[in-house]
Parts: sequence; structure tokens; C-alpha cells
Amino acid sequence: MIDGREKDFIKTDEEKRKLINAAGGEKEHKGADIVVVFDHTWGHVDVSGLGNLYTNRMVKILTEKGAAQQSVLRFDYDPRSYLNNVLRLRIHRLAGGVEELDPGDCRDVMQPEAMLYWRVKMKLYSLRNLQVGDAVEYEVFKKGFNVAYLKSAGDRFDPDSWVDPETGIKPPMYGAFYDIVYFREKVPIKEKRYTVLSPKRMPLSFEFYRGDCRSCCLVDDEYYTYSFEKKDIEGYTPEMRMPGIQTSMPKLLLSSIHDWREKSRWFYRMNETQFEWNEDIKKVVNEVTAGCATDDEKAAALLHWVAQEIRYIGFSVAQGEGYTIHPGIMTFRERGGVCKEYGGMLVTMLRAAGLEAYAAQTQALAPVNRIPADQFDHCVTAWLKPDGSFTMLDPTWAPFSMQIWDAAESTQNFLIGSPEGENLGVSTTFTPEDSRLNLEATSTISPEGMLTGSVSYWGRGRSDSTQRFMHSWQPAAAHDRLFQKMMSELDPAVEITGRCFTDIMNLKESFRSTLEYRVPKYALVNQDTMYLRLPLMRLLLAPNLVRYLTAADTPERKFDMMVIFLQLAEASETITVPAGWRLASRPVAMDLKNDSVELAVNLKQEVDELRFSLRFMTKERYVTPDTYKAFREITGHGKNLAERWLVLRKEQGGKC
Amino acid sequence: MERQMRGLNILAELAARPDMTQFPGCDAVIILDERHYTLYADGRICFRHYQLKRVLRDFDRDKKSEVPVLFHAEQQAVTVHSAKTVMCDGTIMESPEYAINQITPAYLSAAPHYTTFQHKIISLVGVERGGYTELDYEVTDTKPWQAGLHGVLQLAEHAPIMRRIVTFDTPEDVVLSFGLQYIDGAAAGNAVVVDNGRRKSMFEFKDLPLWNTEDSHPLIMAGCPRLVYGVARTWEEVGAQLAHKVSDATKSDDDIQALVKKLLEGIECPVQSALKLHKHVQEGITAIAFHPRHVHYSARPAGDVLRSRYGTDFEKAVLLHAMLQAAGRESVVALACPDPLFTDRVLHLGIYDSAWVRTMGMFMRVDKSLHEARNEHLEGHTLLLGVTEGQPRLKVGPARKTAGNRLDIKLNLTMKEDRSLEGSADVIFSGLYNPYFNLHGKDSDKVIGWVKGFVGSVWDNAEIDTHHFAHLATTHSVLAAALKVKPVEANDDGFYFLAFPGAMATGGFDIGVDVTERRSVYALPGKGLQTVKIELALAKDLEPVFSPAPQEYKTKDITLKQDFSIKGDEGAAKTVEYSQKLDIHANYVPPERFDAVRSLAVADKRGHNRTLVLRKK
Repeated sequence: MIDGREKDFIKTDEEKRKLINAAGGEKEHKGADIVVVFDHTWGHVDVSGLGNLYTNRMVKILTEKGAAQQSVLRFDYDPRSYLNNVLRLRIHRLAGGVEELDPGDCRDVMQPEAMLYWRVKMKLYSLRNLQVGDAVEYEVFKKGFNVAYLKSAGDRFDPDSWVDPETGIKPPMYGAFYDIVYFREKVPIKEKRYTVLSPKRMPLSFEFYRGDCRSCCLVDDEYYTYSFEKKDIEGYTPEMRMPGIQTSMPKLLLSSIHDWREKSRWFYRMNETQFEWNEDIKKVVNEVTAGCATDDEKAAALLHWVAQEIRYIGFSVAQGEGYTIHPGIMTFRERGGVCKEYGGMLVTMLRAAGLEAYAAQTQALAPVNRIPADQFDHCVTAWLKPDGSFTMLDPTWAPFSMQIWDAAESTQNFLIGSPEGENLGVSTTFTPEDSRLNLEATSTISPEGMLTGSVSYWGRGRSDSTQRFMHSWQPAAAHDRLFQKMMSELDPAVEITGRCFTDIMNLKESFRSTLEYRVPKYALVNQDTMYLRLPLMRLLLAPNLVRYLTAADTPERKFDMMVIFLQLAEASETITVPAGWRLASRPVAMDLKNDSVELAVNLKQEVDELRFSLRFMTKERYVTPDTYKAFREITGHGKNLAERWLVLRKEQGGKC
Repeated sequence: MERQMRGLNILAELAARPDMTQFPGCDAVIILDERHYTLYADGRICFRHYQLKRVLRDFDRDKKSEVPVLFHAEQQAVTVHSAKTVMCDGTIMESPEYAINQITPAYLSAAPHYTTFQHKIISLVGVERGGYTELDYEVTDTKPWQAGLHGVLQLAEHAPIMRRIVTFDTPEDVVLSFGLQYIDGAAAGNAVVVDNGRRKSMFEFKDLPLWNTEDSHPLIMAGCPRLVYGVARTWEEVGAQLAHKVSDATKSDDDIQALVKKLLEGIECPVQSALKLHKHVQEGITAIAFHPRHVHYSARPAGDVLRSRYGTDFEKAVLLHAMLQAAGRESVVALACPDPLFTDRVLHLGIYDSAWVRTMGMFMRVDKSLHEARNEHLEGHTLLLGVTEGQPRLKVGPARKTAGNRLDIKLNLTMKEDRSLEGSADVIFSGLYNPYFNLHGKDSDKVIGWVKGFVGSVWDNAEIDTHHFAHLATTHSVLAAALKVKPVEANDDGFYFLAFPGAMATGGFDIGVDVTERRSVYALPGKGLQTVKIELALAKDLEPVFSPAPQEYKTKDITLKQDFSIKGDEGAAKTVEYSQKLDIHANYVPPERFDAVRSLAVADKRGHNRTLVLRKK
């Protein structure tokens, strides 16, 4: 900590007691179990890029549930990349008095992990006898690196191997600092403040997103002091299909690097040695690309090999695991890795095939903001074509997908690690047509109301892979149940009489599914009148087919609804009715559209056949709370049509 | 059995490799699974597990190639003898050091006391479709700490098992009792050999089919082949052990005394007192999903559980028991086994799934999955009371006769010219249908919300004008409400389709219909009777053009009867009378009768037999 400045940040116990009292209770914060009385972070940045940040946070307990939740406090850390030391832990009792707890009295154990075993740890504190009205306060010190960049410093100093002598932490990128600070939580916050001092030769770029805050930058002889503050922040309840917090919450980005190219060159240098290949890899590359006529075909074939043969599993093999790609030879041998190994394996194989390729970083399902802070959480592959353009490939998202870049990653920012240094790029924008779904159905209704039929569906892009996932992401023993559940949308009494699927491993052709079924007493029959619902329209309510037709399930939203991929669905059904029966209902002709969604439906009778067709299209990635109502209205017409009973009448003497 | 690396020549050894044609619908096949339990003379236990498997589909490769091994980090050591993969080309990959990791199980991250239990995650590398995996590890006590050798071993798994061997190696004077259940179709052999002061009991099973656990039904494991083992001789012995464990954990504690005094201030009714204490334990103590069998049903002192504000299901029950005692109430901690087919000859606490507290004739449960506390939920369970004296200690069914589970709904509705409906609802809730326990102590907003939700389930879009809802007792409640329903809209063809309430909707339960056949017992929501009677006076200008014929679905476990009748003279306004009677007369449906129950549930869900079609005259 910067000498003598603590008093600027830590409040006195008297001030804290006043704040606890002023924070209110359960009545003032309806529905909340706790309220954050204050959350203050302050600290300074070393020239190495090392952040030294202190946090003082106090939480007031409002309910018994809140008391139970706060009774165990957890502080995560990674011995190899950042510390998180608890300096002070206190309970301000409702009845008065402050209990000081021993910061050393904790369980220091491994964190829970799954699929990604990076040997990170946590400290657990048990706070005993917490009561409603008590306030829990802690002070922690965090020290670690987030991003760094090499500065030329002569032969004696190697920033890539520099280790902090005090902590043993090795910075990934010497000389740079970044932070991402969110200014909203699920619980209410009375006051949040973030203050950081950076040396005068190391100014920070910053920007505040989604809302505003009180901010200032003060300058003295040694430091820039950046301070950000916000009060009375409402808690939020997560909504289904809301975007990640990166794009939905107020946040502050700060960074001491100001150019993406610096980051690009660093990423290239850190990983460039990892893409060597051996004879075993070369042999597989030759086998996989045999018969490929073009480089595009070779790249696609290699991508699919990596996607299908590498299993998602992460191990910690060395310091800097989060940004260091394992050698391609190792990934190939172990057939396992996380996104960076998928990306690196493909770089390795592309190079073995004579193509120029680099690893790249991206942020999945969210845009990267312009401040060059490390916002990346995903690794992909960039293939440099002879014409100087890059084609982006994402093997991690390609298992059981015909695509080389997933439609869900439409218009997504990325940063390629190259020797020259690249700027932030943006991926292809996918259209609804790119994830088109086709459904064709035929059915026959008997005079007694029995429905028999079949439905076939196939697609491309995400509409194709979604159907393959039905098979691959579930145990084989669960398949019967999955398809029964899906077909139950048509009618709970459905009996599946036949199933036929093409090969899910064949990624050159659309995956085609055909289901045959029957439904006894599907229609209500009353002598010369029959009432029935449109079978295919009902089936379309199954969420794995037309994903967003049923997505608007709440009357309103506070956050955007994120449409993971834009989709065009075209469906048609021919329903054969008994001879002499005519549709007494009015024909259906619907053509509804707005900026986010389109729905067109037609139903008419031709001789003894009812011809039904539907076209549904999602057009916008983010449906805002304002446009949600219109989205819901249009999709509501589709749902209503699925519920609608049509009337058929038996002709008597040529008339019905 | 030889224990050399079988993978080295496995391709040669397995001339007839099991593949997908032999095992359709399977993600993998377990070729050999061996479990060996050794009890040493000093009380230490060693468990060794060997498994050889062929991977058939991506799902198994991706989801089953990490093996979590639970162990006590201070009392046990895990040794991995072999973690290998034989790839399709014969290459053998051994799991490196970094592929064997230790983590804290996620369900213990809010329970510091239990973080001494850790998972060793053994990851296999080089796993391919068509490849083989071999795993051999042991968990050894570094000092005696376990209460004997006992447990329940599920014999079937997510993949079919071609051969399974289970061996128990104990000192000669330790005689285990065994119980084998549901092993139809799997050849089982066993042998006991006594040699050199050791007693070896061996069981061998062949061709165990996979057990599908993808359905989330709570009794999904009921009927799964299993082997139960232990040293206990009588249930009295086991019940007394339980009573001692409870007694040890419920010593007098000042904090418990003070809290009980505070919570019960002004409450005189003994039942209300018990419910108040139950509510505190349920809401104020975080439930930890850690099965108490891992700690041999020992519990931390109740005062510690109270102060730490977290505990296992069993610890929460012990805390409630301690609080009741502090309040001067008699109570007993009991364990319940939900599997109705479980025989009582297998003596082991591990068969018990949930912990309850009996006081004043009520059984109360404190876990977060069941927010109600009533005897009816225990019907059909096998109960073990933690008592040191008194008979019998093993009970089947509730400890007292229940008041009966019954829901009676009467609706009188009139359709007005604008097609809106008005009328009244009279409902009597008894037994399980009574929301008393659910709503007890809740603020009025919550109670009104529940009433609104219930009325909405009885008639779609119905809104309450005025209502009176009375919690008469823990056994009965009544509701009288004036209702309004927004105008029913004609469809584009001028027809009005009115769906009368489904039995499952009004009863507030669901029977999953996506599973068409089962191998496990299915739990129904409890025996009970629902009756619905609706009188609907139609608008004068509307006439029924379709009303379903009377229907009766009879199964051995449930019957459902629905009946429509239209009354009114020619030309006059018509009145529709609808009646529905659902009688659930079983708690559990055996697999062979599930299809009939499912068919009834399907009929109720689709609503064809309760849909009325109207048209303007």
C-alpha cells in the first residue's frame, strides 16, 4: 500500500456503525437477504504491471437465509498467479460491539473444479452465530497479474521469465495492468468505490459502460489517482436468456496498454514455440487431407478432426496455464485439452499441412470493448491465406458441427497473435439463412380421429448441429426419452412408431431425422364434425427445433434477451383428411414482421389435403426490453395457432 | 487374478471385442470390474477398485473419463496403481501426474468442517472411441476411523458390466452379513474361504445390464441390483447405535436454550411451537448435500450446527431434536428408507435416505427438498427410530393414522353475455392437499399468492374477487372465493373451446410421461381422493356443439372418472355439469404397472376428455 494513504480509504468504526444503521433492513430491501453496506477497493499499480489492491467490504444481514449464506465466506486464489489474503475479518453485532476474528483460522483447500483442473485454491471461513442485523466486514489484499507486455530492456532483463521475488508470481506480460470492475450485483449495494493509483509514466485508459458513475482523475508528482464511485445500486434477479454480465452489467475497464497490437505480439511470442509437429501428426494430417482438392477443404477437414477427436479436459502443466497453449505434440498424444489446446492443435496441423496459421483470442458470445484490457475467455485459430486475409476457425465449438466458425459466434471480436501485431478483428456476421431449418411432414387423420404421420427435419449451421447434439450430448440410454419428450409437444399421447437418422459423424451433409408416429384419438370427433389442432405447428413448440418461437415466456423483461443464433425455419405439412371432409375453419394467412422477428403462416385445403406452411425468422441478436413486447406478440400468434382447434365437417350432398 | 498390465496385450487377449453391435444403445461396456474390501485387525479398511472398459461413443469418452474418488484427506490415502488407456492403434497412454488432481466437492464448498473430504480426480488421457481404459486404485485408511465395514454397493452402472467381482477380506472372527437384491438375470456366485486367520467372501456377477439413471425420479435406483453388507446382527442393535449418536450430539447448549426461548415467546400451542422451531432449522441452517453415511451417521454437536448455520440432513434433524428437548418436548430422531421393496433383513443404516424428527405424533423433515412436515409423506417407508428401548424399532408406514388426503372442489360459474365468467369456488383441503405446512408462518402476500395460484390451476385465467381462506388445522383448510374470468374469446371460426381442469393440475402434481417404460418403482404423490364438481350456466346465445363422453380410467393404482352433462330445455340457456374424481390408492407403482398409470396421466394432460366446444346459436 502507498504509505500513509490508508486513512483516506478505511472508515472509522463509528462511521461504519452509522452506515450499518442507515443501510436499512428487510423492509427497505424487499426480497433481499443481505445488503452490501459498502464495497471499497483501492490500491496501486507497480511498474511491472503488478496490481496491489485492497478491498474493504461490509455486508448487513437482513434475513435468516442471509445469515445462513454469510456464515461461510470463501476467498479464491491461485498460488501461481494471484494472492487473495484476508487481512481482517469482523462481525459488527446488532446488539453492539465488534468481534475480531482470526484471519488465520480458515480451511485452505482446493476449489471445486470440473473438466478444468487448474489446481486453484480457496480459503473458507466459518462465521459462527450470525444473526439478522449483524454486519460482516472483511479486508483483503489481492496481488497478481492480469496482462503484461514486453518492453525492450536490454539483454540482462528477460520480462518473459521475470518472477516477482516477493510472491513467486510470474507475470504473463511484464509491464502492463488491467482490471474489469462490475458495479452491480444480485444484492443491493449502498456504496461502491474503486480507486487505483498508477505511476505517472504508466497512465491508464479507462471507460465506464452501461450507466454512469462519479469519477475523477487526480494528478500529483508521482501518481495518477483514478477513482470511481456509485451509490444505491439496485440488486438484480437473473433472467432466462440474458446476455453475460460483460454485456448486461455496469462495468469499468482500465488498462495500462493502449494498443491491441502490443497484446497481439505478446500472445504470438508466448505460444509460437508450441506448434511443432512430429511424424505421427504428419501422418494423420496426410490421412485427413487426402482427397481434399483445395486449401479450404484441407482446413475444414483438419478442423473437424480436431473437433471430433480432442476431448475437452484441462490440466495445469505449468505456470501461466491460463494463457499458455500446450504443445501440439502433447495435445495430439493425449487427445485432450481446453479451447487453447483445440486452437493450438489446429494451428499445428494446419502448419503441418503447409498452411500458415496462428492462435487467436476471443470472447465467446460477447463483444470486446475498445479498452485493451484482457477481456478474452476463449481461444481459436486464424488461418492466413495467401491473399493476406484471415479465415477464422473454432474447433472447440465445432464438435458435431458442419461449420468452421459457429453461428453463435457471429460478429465476435478476436485478436490474432502474430509477429507483426494485429488489431482487434471481428468475425463473420451470420444471417438467419445460415442456420436454416427445414421441416417436412405428412400426416393422415382417420374418420375416428386417429392421426398417423411422419416428420423429417434437417438444416444447416446451428440448426444442423443442434439436432446432432440431441444424440451426442446425451447418453444413448436417454435417447428414447428425449424424442418422446420432443414429440409429446405434438400430443402427450403420441406413440413413436419409427425413427430414422443419418450418420451424425458425417459432417459433409446435413443431418436428417425422420420420426414416424401415431396418436390415437388425436381429433375430437362428433358425428359429422371433427376438431383438431395442426400437428406440425404443435411440434414446433419443442424448443430444440425452432428455438425462439417459445422463448418469450415472461410478460416483460428488464434485461435484453440474447438470441444465441439467428434462425430461419421453413416448415410444411400435408394433412390428408378423410374423403368428403372439408375444412370448415377459415383458412389461415398470417404475415407478421418487425425488426426482430418474422412469422408467416398459411393453411388451406386442396381436395382431401390440408396444406400448412410456416416461415419463422429471428433477425436480431439482442431483443431489448423495449422491443421484447413486439417480439412476444408475434411469437404469441404462433403459440396461439398451435393451440387452435380447426373444424372439419363431413360433406353431405356435396355441401358441408 | 493376475494383475499385470492387461492393457499391454489387451487387443490380443480380447479376441472378441465387445462393440456397439453387441451393445446397442450403450456408450461403453465394462469388461471387468473388481472391488476388494479388506478389513485389517486394527480396524483399518482398504478398498481397491479395478475396472477395464471399452469406450463405444463420444458421450462416454467425454463424460466418464474422469473418475472422482471420495476420501478423507486426514485419515485416508489414495494410491493410483494404474490409469491407462489403450488407444485404437495399440498405443498405451498412462495418465501423467498432472492428470491426477484433488478438488473439494462442490457440495462441500459451503461446509468448511467437511472439507476434510476431498475428491481425487483420476483423469484418463488418450481416450478414443473404440479404445480401452484401465483403472486400478485403492483407498486405504492411514489409521482406524471407520465404524466397521458396511455399505450398499449398487451392482449395475451407466454401462453394462460383463463381469463383476466383489471380495471382502476380514479377520476370521469378523463375520459380515450380506443382502443381495434385484439380481434377476445376472448369474451370481459366491464363495467363502477361511484361511490363515482370514475370511474371504467373494461374489461374482456376469452380464449386468446398464442401469439408466437419466430420469430424475427420486426412486430411480429402486430395483437396481445391489449388495448390502455389514456386521450388525439385529435392528435393535442398529437403532440403539443411532440413538447413542443422537444422544452424543444433543448435549445441553446455552445458545440452543436461549434461541428456543426467544423463538417460542408468546406461543403456547405445542404444535405451533414445534412448527416454529422446524421453520428456523429449515430456513436458517444451510442444507449440505453430504450423505451422513460418509461419516457413519455421526453428527456434530447440535450447538455447533446451530452456530455454524450449516449441516447435513441428519445434523439438521438432530438440531431440531435438541431444540424440541430444550422446549420440553419429547422427540425422537428417525431415519426413513423410501424404497418400498427393501427388505428389513439387511441391517445397515446406509439404506436410509432421509432423517426425520418425531414429536407429538408428527414426523418432521428438515431438508430443503421437502418443505412440508407431515406423516403422510412417510407412508410406505421403512422407518428406523433412534431409540434404545421399546418395540418395535423397525416400522413400516406412518406412526399414527392419517386424516386422509382429500381435495374437494366445487365451482359455480355463470357465463355473461360478454363471455366473461363469474361465480364462486368452495374448496376443502385435507391431508397432503392441505397447504398448512407450506404456508405456515409465511406473510400474507405469500399466502394470497398461493391462493391465486391454486385458483388459477382450477380454472385458467380465473381471478379472485374476494376470498376467505382459513387454515383450520394441520389437517384441514378451506377456501371460499368469488371468481371472475376474463371474457372467453371465440376462435376465428366462432367456436369457444373451454378446457375444464385436469386432475393433475388441481392436485398440484405431475406424472412424467416422457419415460414410456421403467425398471424402477415409481412414487406417486401419495394416496388421496380428489373430486371436482363444476356447474357452468352458459350465456343464453351459446350452445354446446361438442361435449366429451363420460370416461373412466381404471388401473390398479389410480382411477380417474370424468363426466359431462348438459341440462336445460330446448331454446333456454344451458347448464353444463362437469364432475371429476381421481382416486390414488397406491403410494408406489411397480414397473409392470407403470404403463397403465402413464396412459391415465397422458389422457389427463392432453385434456380431450374435458374440453367442451360451444358455438353461437
